[in-house]
Amino acid sequence: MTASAPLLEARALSRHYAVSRGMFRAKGSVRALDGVSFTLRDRETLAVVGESGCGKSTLARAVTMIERPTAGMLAVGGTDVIAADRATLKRLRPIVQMVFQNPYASLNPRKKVGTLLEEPLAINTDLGTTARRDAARAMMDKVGLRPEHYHRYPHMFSGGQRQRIAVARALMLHPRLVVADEPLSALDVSIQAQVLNLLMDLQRDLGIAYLFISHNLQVVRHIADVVLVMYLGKIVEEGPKDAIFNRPAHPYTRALLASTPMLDPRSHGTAGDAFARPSETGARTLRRERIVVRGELPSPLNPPGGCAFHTRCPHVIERCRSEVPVLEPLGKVRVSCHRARELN
Amino acid sequence: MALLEVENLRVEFGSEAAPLTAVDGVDLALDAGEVVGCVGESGSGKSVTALAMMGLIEFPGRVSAKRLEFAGRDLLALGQAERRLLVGKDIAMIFQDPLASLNPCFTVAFQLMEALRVHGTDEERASARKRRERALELLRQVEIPDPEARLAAFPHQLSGGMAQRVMIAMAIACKPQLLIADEPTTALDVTVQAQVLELLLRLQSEQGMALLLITHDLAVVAETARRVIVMYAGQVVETGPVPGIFEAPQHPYTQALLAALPERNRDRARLEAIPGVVPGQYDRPYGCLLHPRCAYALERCRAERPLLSGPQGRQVRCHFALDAAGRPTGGWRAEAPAAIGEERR
Repeated sequence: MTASAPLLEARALSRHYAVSRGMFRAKGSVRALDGVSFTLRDRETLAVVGESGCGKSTLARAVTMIERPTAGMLAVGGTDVIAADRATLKRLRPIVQMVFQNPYASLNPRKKVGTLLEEPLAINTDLGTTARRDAARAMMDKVGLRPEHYHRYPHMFSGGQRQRIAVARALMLHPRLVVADEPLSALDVSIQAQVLNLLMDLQRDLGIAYLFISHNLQVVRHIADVVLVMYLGKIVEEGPKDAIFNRPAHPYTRALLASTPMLDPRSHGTAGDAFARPSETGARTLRRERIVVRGELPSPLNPPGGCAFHTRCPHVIERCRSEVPVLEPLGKVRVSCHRARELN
Repeated sequence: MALLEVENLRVEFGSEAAPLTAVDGVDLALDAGEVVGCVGESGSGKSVTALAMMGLIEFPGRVSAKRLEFAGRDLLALGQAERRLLVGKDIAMIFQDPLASLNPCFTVAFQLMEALRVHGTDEERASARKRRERALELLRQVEIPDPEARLAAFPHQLSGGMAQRVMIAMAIACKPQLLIADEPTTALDVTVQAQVLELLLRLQSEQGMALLLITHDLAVVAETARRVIVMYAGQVVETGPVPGIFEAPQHPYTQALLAALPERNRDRARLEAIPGVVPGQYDRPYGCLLHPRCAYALERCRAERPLLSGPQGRQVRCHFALDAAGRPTGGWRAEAPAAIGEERR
C-alpha cells in the first residue's frame, strides 16, 4: 500500500450480469455498471446519485468487495482488488466498511448491541474478550449511545438509534472508507438530521472518507464534496458539489435537480434557465412547472442505443441516438453529453 | 359548507384500560376543490386519520368523533352498506406502495373494471363493454403509454410509477369529490415523483375534487398544497396557509422540522436536529406532547396541555406560540436548561 495512492481508484469499472431470457434465447446481459471511473481521497465524501436501477448499489457492492467486477480496475489504497487473492482481500476488507439502508433489517434481532459491535473484531482481529468489550464501549460513546445500551437488543431502539448502532459497527475496524447506501432514507426528517450530524462529526474526528449513496439531493448537497451522477450504469456527470448544484451541465442532472421538491421554489433558479418555464395558470402560482423529463428509466436489459438518456432528454438530436457520448472535462466537471458545450 | 368536516376525531387501539391513542382529537375541515397537505413524522397519526375517515379501521381499533360529516351526510350514522356506497366512490384513496396495493392475481383491466362494476353509473354496471371502454379512457387520462396493452398487464409487469398511475386511475374512476393520497410518491424516484404529483394536481383541478395529500416531505407540500396541517403524536399542532406557515411557523415543532432540513442549513456544517423521538404508547408525556423535545418547554408546558387556538385557518397548539421572528410569545422566559438536557441523546 503506497502512501501517495488515492484511497479508492476505479478505472473503466464494469459489472455485467448474465440474465436468462428463456430456454431458447441467448442469455441477455445487464450492464449494471458500465465503464465507471473515479477517484476518492482520504477524508473526502463522494456522493453517488441517480434513480433506482442506475447502478448505485452495484457500485457499493464492488467497492466493498462483496462482488468482483467483471472488467476494469479497482484499487483500494493502491492495491488492485480485481486480481487480488483471498488473503489480500481479507487484508483489504477492514479498510472498507458499509452502512446499510434499513437499520430495521441490517441488525440481527437475536444479538445484543455489544455482541453486534464486537463481532467484526472477533472475526478480523485477535483481540481478547476484554479488549473487544472496551473497544465496543468506546465506540458506543463516540456515536452517542449510552453505556447501558450495551446489553440491549436492536428492537429496543428507535430507527435513529439503530442507525447509530449500524454506524458504530461499521467503524469498529477503523476503516478508512465507509460506504453508506441510502443510510437516511428509512428515517424521519428530524432523525435524519441527527444521523447526518453524526456522520459529519465522525468524519471530522476520525478522518474517514464516505462513499455516500443517496437519491436525496438535498442531503447530498449538505454532505458531499464530490458528486457523481449515474444513469443506467454510466456516469453522466461528475464534479465538485458546488459546480454540480450551481451549474449542472448534463440534462439529466438538471432534470434531477428540477424534480426535487423544494421548500422555497425560488431556489430552483439555479437548476438551469433553459428549463425554467413560467407556471401556466394563475391558480397554481405556488407551484413551478416541474416536469422536465417524461417517461421512466428504460429497462437495463434493453438499454437504448447511443446516449442512454436520449429517450427522455428534452434536447435530443440525431447524433444522440447513434453515438455514445464519452465523459469529457467541461469547466470544473466531467460530463457525458454531445451537446454539453452548446447548451452551457 | 365544507365538503368534509371532522370534529374531535379519536382513534384508539388496544385495551380499554390502557389504550394506544393514535389520533387524539383531530379537527379538520376541507372545502370542495381544495388541496390540503398533512405532514408529520411516522407515528404522528396522519395515515390513521385518513383510514378513519374512509371507515377502514378494523375491529380492535375504535373510532369516535363529535362530528364526521361528508357533503352534509353524517358518516357515523351511516350503516355499513350505505357507507360502502360512499367510500370508493365519492371518497377515494391511494396508498404509499402501489405494487402492494394492487392485487397481484388480477390484471389491470379486471381491477379497474371492478371499481366500475361496484360504483359505476347504471350503464357501466350493466355492460362489461362499457366498463372496458371506460377503463381504457381512464388509463389514457392518467397518461399511461400504450393503454390497450396495459389493460391485460398484471401488476408485476408494471414499474412503480405505472402502478401508481393505475391506482390513481382506479381512484378517480367514479369521479370522487375527495381524494385522499397517503404518501403517494414516497416509493417513487424523484423524476417519477414529479410526474405523479403533476398528474394528481392536473386531475384535481380538471375534476374539481378536493385533495388531501398526506406526506412526511415538507417540500412536497410546499409545492402542491394551498393549506397545510401539521400533526404530532396524533394531534394537529398547527394549520395555516402555504407558504406562510413555512416562512413564519408559529409552533416550535413546525419550526424545528423546517430547521432540520438540509435545505434550510445550506451554509452550516451541522443541522438543527430535534432530540428524541415521537412518543409511543407508554411514554406519552403529561402536558404538551412535544415538551420533552421542545427547545422552549417551561413548567407550564409540562403541566398543562395546550389547546388548538387562533383565527380560522391559522391555528396553533402552543402556550407560547412563536412570533414572525420565530421567538416564543405569551410571557415566555427562559428557564434553567437542566430539565430539557436529559433527553438530548
